[in-house]
Amino acid sequence: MSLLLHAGLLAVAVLAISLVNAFIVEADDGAALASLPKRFVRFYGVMLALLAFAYFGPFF
Amino acid sequence: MESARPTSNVPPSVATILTWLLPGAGHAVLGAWPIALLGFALVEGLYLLGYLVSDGVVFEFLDPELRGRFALVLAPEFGNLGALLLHQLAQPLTMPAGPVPIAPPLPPASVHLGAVLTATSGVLNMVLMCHAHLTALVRRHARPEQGATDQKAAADTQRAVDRTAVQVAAGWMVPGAGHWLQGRKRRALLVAVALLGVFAIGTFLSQGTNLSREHHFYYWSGQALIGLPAFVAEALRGHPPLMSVPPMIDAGLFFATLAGLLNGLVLIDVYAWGESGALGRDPVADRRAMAAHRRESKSAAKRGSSGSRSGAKAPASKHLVAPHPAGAASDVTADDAEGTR
Repeated sequence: MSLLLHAGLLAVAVLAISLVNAFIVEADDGAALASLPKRFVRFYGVMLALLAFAYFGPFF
Repeated sequence: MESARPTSNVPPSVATILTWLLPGAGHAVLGAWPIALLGFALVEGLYLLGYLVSDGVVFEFLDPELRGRFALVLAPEFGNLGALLLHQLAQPLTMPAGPVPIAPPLPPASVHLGAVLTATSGVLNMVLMCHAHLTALVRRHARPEQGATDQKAAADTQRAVDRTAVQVAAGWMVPGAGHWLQGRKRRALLVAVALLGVFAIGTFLSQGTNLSREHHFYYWSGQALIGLPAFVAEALRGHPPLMSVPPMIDAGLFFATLAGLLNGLVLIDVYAWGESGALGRDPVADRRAMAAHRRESKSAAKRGSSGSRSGAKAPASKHLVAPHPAGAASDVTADDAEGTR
């Protein structure tokens, strides 16, 4: 449950970052909204990969 | 007799740095004396007031082991560098000599108000720096031969510069307000909901302890960029009695600070939009030109990596400007371009 909660919280944070990023980079709202899923998945994927590396990797 | 349209060769970066060191100095160099004096009085007055009501101990919350030469670079007061340096000369933040006292002297009760005032002074000086930068930029772009004949355009340009600074300040105070004032209302609502929501989640998870500079000096600095919501929340319930550490404190601090830092990005967007308008360019066309430039750069890089190394270089982005259809500074809003709301 705790892991799910943290994953959910991380998703909210990544969604906020992706939203701001999309609306800053894109010229119009349609393009910003259209690019949001791609940015979210890419960002979330990178974040999860970094977390996994930090957790299972050589640092701990 | 009409006065000439103001022009200047002062580089925008010089005007900005002068303002950083001394509020109003950048405007003084540009000859904009009323704003120079008003900005100086407002920014330094706020800092002085904060200093006086807090007995100058707004930085004493910083843990002794974190007090270094550059410890205050991440504080919002860093936006008002001159006052911060003067403050440090008068009352240096140093490592206490010898063992740290178990019960250090209590700061005055008004120290939290003092911190809000000095932080506000730092952020407002950043807004003044934006204004000085844009003023220098438009005066550099103004052609002297337009001088006596183009007074109305000059006044319009100056109004666009002033409006941009007001929009940045509003966007700091209330996330999304800058976009709203620029006519980008759907974007404003999305920004407000996203950032205020993230900030509310953070405050909820950390049970309000994130709002205290006393407990979380640097996280407080980050969330100060979200402006009034952070300060109002702090005034309402920012200093709860700490019986135990909230279990989700780390996530809470992360969320609250993230909201503030993202608002910093949003403010850059507000400024960039206003800058395009003040320079007589179409902000939407500017964005599209930059996006096209990025795509070109990417494809050129791909071609370069897959084929020969002698790929053509993309043009510098600063030359990618899109003239505004009106050809002069005007009230450029999203209304000017269909589909930008």
